[in-house]
Amino acid sequence: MNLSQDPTQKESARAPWTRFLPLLVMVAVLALLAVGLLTQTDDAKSVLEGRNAPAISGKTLDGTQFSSSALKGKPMVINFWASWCEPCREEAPLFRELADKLKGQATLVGILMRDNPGKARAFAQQFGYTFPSLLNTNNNLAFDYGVTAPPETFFVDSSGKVVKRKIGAITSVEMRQNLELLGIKL
Amino acid sequence: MNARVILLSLLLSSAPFFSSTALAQNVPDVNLELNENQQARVRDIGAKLRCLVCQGESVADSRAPFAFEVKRQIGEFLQQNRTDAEIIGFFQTRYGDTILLEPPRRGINLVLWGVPVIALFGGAALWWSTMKRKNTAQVSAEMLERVDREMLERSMQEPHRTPDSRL
Repeated sequence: MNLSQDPTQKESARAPWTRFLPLLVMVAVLALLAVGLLTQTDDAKSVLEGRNAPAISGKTLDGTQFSSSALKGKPMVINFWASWCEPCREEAPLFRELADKLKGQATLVGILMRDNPGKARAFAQQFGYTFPSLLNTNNNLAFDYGVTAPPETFFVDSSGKVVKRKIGAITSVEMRQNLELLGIKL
Repeated sequence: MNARVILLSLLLSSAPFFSSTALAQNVPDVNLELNENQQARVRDIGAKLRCLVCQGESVADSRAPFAFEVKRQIGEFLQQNRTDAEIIGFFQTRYGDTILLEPPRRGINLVLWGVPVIALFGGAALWWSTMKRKNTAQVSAEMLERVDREMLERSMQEPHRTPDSRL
């Protein structure tokens, strides 16, 4: 009798870990899913990060003309907001405060999204906004920056490159950390 | 009590209507003059783009403000005689590959395209090997030994019986 043909022998010759192969595959798939779900944050990296910030120009809420090309060599904080947006209300006091603190160090500019100018003006007045906010009537600026919904904040360094994007209402800690990336300490 | 429950149910069921109305108010009403062909192209291009503020919906299917603006932008580009590839490229360079409903077949995305094929062939190979193993007679050495022993015992119990004696 040829024992090498014996299926039992063949069975025992198979590495014991192969029994756990389906379990290992399942664990690996679940681990991948868990990593994917847990690493998904609000600060999904913008395709703009590390690239030149798109130029910003247009009419502001107070009717004046704004152009970012005139501000070359200075860091910039760009905030997309709207009067109907609840998280924008949450972060509004922080931006009012920032406008005062940033003077001379960087330019703070707001860009409206899908907003009625009258309501936006009332919002700006209510929260004491002193920085310019562009009307962005055809949404082109939101498309240029890859913005889907307000609020979103972009941090642009003095060389004109986008350093960081924050999706959603920004906290004072996040603001400080991101400003440090621009070399600004408050 | 019942009246309160009914009132609450009515309010809850009407909430989506009110929220969509509120959202719609924030969408600028822009009427683009597009011919039938252009309208069809808006739908076709919109079907290839993901609505980034929706749950698994294309821009073409969604009624979200973001999807509306993307569709309007597509319409404007079509009026400027831009090609489909140019229009899709415009959104891809601004929002990344995530805006594409069909991920491009390059880089890490190849894994996405390759996994179903690997799973299909791997599954087929696994099924084939399992079936083959099942069809193979599972006779152990011990079993063969036992059968030999039993046959020997029987032949000893019936010494005069030969295979031909059955006939």
